[in-house]
Amino acid sequence: MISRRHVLQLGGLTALGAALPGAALRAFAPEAGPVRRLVVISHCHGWPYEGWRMHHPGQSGDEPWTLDLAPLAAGDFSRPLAPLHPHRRRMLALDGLSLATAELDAGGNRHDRGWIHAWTGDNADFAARDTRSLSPSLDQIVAAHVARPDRLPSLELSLDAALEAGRPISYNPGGMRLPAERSPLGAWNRVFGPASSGDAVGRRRRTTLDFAYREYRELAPRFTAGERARLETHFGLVERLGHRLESLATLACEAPAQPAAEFERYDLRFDAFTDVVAAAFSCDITRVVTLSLGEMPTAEFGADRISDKVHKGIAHYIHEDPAKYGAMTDYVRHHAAQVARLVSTLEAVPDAGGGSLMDNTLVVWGSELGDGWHGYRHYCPVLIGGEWAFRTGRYLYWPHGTPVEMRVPSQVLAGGATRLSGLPHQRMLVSVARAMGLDVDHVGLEHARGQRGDFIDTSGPLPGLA
Amino acid sequence: MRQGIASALLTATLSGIVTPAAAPGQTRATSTTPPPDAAPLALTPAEYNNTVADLFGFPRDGDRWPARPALADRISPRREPSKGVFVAPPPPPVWPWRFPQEAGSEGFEGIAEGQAPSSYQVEELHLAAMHFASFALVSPTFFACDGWAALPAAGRTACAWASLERFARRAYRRPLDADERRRLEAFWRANAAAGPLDEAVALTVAGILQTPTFHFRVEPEARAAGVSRRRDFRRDRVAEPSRPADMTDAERLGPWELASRLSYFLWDSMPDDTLFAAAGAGGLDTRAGVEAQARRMLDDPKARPALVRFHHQWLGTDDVLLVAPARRAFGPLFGVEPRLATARDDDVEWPAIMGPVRHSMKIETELFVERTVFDGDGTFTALMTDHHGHMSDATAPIYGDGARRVEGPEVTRTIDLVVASIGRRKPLTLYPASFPPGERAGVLTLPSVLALGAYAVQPGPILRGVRVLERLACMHLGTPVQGAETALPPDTLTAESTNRERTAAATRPRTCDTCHRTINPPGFAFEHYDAVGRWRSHDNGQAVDASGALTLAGGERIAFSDGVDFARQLAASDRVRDCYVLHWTRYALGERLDAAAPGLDALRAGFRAEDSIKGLLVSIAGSDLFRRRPGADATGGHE
Repeated sequence: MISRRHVLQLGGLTALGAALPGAALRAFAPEAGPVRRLVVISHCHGWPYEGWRMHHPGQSGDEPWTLDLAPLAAGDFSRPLAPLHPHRRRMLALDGLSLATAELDAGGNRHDRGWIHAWTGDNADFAARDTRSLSPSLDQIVAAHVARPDRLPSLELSLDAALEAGRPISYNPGGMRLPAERSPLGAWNRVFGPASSGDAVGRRRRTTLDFAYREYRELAPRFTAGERARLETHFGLVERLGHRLESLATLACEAPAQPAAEFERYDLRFDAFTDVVAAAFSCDITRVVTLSLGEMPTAEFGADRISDKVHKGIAHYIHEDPAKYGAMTDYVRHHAAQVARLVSTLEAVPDAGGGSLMDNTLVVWGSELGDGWHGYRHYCPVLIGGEWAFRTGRYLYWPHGTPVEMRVPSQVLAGGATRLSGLPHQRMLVSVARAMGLDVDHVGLEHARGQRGDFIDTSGPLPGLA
Repeated sequence: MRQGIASALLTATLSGIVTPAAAPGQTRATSTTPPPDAAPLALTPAEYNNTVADLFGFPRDGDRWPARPALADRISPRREPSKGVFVAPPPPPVWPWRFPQEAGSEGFEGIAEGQAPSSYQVEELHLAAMHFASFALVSPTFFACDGWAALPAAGRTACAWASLERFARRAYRRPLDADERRRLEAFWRANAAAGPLDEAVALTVAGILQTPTFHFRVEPEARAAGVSRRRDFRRDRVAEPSRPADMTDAERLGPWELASRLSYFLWDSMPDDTLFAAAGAGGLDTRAGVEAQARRMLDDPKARPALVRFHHQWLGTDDVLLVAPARRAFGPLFGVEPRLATARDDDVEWPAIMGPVRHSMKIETELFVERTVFDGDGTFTALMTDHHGHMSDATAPIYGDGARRVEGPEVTRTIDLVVASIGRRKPLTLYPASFPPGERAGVLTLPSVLALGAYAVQPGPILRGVRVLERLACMHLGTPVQGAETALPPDTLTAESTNRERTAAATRPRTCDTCHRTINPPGFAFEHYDAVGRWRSHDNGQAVDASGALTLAGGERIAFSDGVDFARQLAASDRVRDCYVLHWTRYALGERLDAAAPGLDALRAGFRAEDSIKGLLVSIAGSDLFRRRPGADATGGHE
């Protein structure tokens, strides 16, 4: 049984500005070499691009350029990105990508399609009742590479409001969406529950694996060498699954206090999730986390005077109503503040091998759309961390030059479509995968065909990140 | 559940009540050299699900299973499903379990080299076992007594153990030896001591469903005589069968393993009571015995979906649910504007049209195969040339005015699709139809096959040609040269030439032509069909030229005027028939058998002469290849 000292006061302590007791969490059994971790955060409805982007004085829009963020003052940042100013040396803001392949994919809803393309890089499968992907998501690809075999491969979280839920980021190798924990208490139970409760159910599940494994061992001498090789692999994995259940049930790690069952505010729930993530990383219970940000109540970012619904009250009308455009700017800014708090939390907790958790973490913040109009044209992810692989502290711009027609409102461009898109966002996924140690050339689609038949290369990393 | 002599015999046989005298033939199986190595086959996802349904006595239709028992949530809690943007996705059906797809071998599941174990697969097997185990308590066939829940405590325990022992024999598809029985009983007793009896039953079942003996089709029974005499799996046999003179015990499959091989070949599932009884009584020890069982099994309804599944894999038509014809090209064919008014418009109209079209294409393929093999001519020629089939209102625009509805029962299936972010279930009715014989001929002109051989706008002669060469003629084409994809003609509506001309021009460079002089002709043969499989006389204002000539591996030359002519000639081709035999034999054995393997010639000769698909399957089942242990020398004579 583990020690259950309440070292973290979950339930909004960090949200209220209190410092996290950084030394309270200790990772046990550190491994040789740094542990790399990945957090994928995805909010809904994209970015108001004109308000989000930053300018490089004297640079045209026709050539790629980079902007060094380190010397900039907070006031030099765009309004949505300003909350990340304290972390500017760790960040890469990417301007010049599109969800081009989502535009080319057929069928389904543009939100659904966007979620799958954003995080799997592949087309969506709308043939069955439940939307599926055609390949696993980035986080699952990374988890398969970095996860400890005796721990949770990944932790899927969804920050739900009473309105619209966060959609799944994570798709397994079969293309099925992985269910996400929707409350901090649920997440805590998944991470620490087996250890704290003695988990009779988990223990008994383990007995079924043990029985199967013992049966294999009994039969093994009768198999030929070829049969045994195949079966050893399979039952080796069965044994590891048993160890994972056991490992979680006998975890030697100091757990934070159980979070509250309910939170009144979206922000408090976010911060409670953040604390569970920090604790899970610190105890090395998992190394990959996805956090899908469900629709935020408009009162959280001061837009309740405009509408009580972000999606159908504000996001759809960003190109028609300046007030709603401004509200979406505040909405993204509020999410940026949440991301900034997550980074601060991870910076406050020491890592087993030295430095902070954040020193060995890469946070990828994206969305399922380019903008609230359902456009895929301007896709504006931000990477924070991953300094071991990236030259951070920069804003990168690439002009749109990929021959994919992107739909835009007719008030933005007559005809309702551009002839060019930004770089396919898959290249950002490849960059992240490589930063996490994978030797991959593509994530999801390797290539696609534009509407005019042009060959669209979606492989390789983004230029200039490393 | 089927009862009677066969069932009683099975019970006696599998429970070890009847212990025969030592079999004289066993004295020959004393070699200490095990047969060559072979990777054991795991149950494929379809086989696993069918087997579980048969084990518990439930239909192969999740809608007709009972609701997930509350016990399932006690022993294996489900996490809450994630919500959708607009509505929660529907709960997954209680059956089948959605396992990860096998990597496969040349498009086929159930081939050893295409089955790579993975952590994900093992997790899913564990979760599936925990999920299905609780259904034992509501199964009509699980308990060996009546009214288990109402029995006194001692009676419940005794009946539970008897039921578990019987369940294990069926799950293992062979008798348990004394050590296995002892270990199983110890596991059961530990579970019974640790918690409520219903949980103990379910956990014991879950354990059984994760053992190698259940999940893998591997039996060390015959080798056990040579490798480890202390475990003699043959002692449960009731009668000493007659033996074919050409195989030793070590070479041939044991009766239980042969029964499993036969049932997974023809049913995608475990043996039934009759087959178990035949195995126990020595009924599978002769070619005639195996062939008699194969004929019986092919008459069983369970053979139909199994044969359909083979043909889906052969043609790749499972993937037709993913075809994505472009609205800008095919919107008018289905009655909608080709362009979108707003970005939101593609949420509803096109998915609502394309969903039923895709499903209809898939079901039409299934019905065509099923009716041809089981209810129609039953010949390979018919499979390749028949111009009758099914269509629905969804695909009627593809078939056009030439299609004629004919007498026959309608078929209504429930399909799943996503429209406007919401998963829906709706009925789709298909009706029998006759198509112009000049436009349709067999599987290669089914819209499913044609749409898979196409891009979003234009047909893909290269895709279609490769399919014919690889799947129908067993010709291996190698890897495309670097950058080949970038050289393909644009998939666009605004072309100035025919699709054939553009493809020919793109593949004219010498580096391409080496292969494309072979690939293009069988693809051009289907230029009369657009990207959704609609017949067309003209392409871009010019009359379609679908003529060509092709030399198959082995030297057979085929010259054809169009796709229908091509299909008819392929149907009569020795090379194509031999290839079909090879695919089926590999599928039956679960191994990537070499085309020159001894024993194949006889099967090929028979199929060339008889043309009967069911006849071919019976011949495969009776062949030495099928009845022989993998890796054992197959050069011996015949009975």
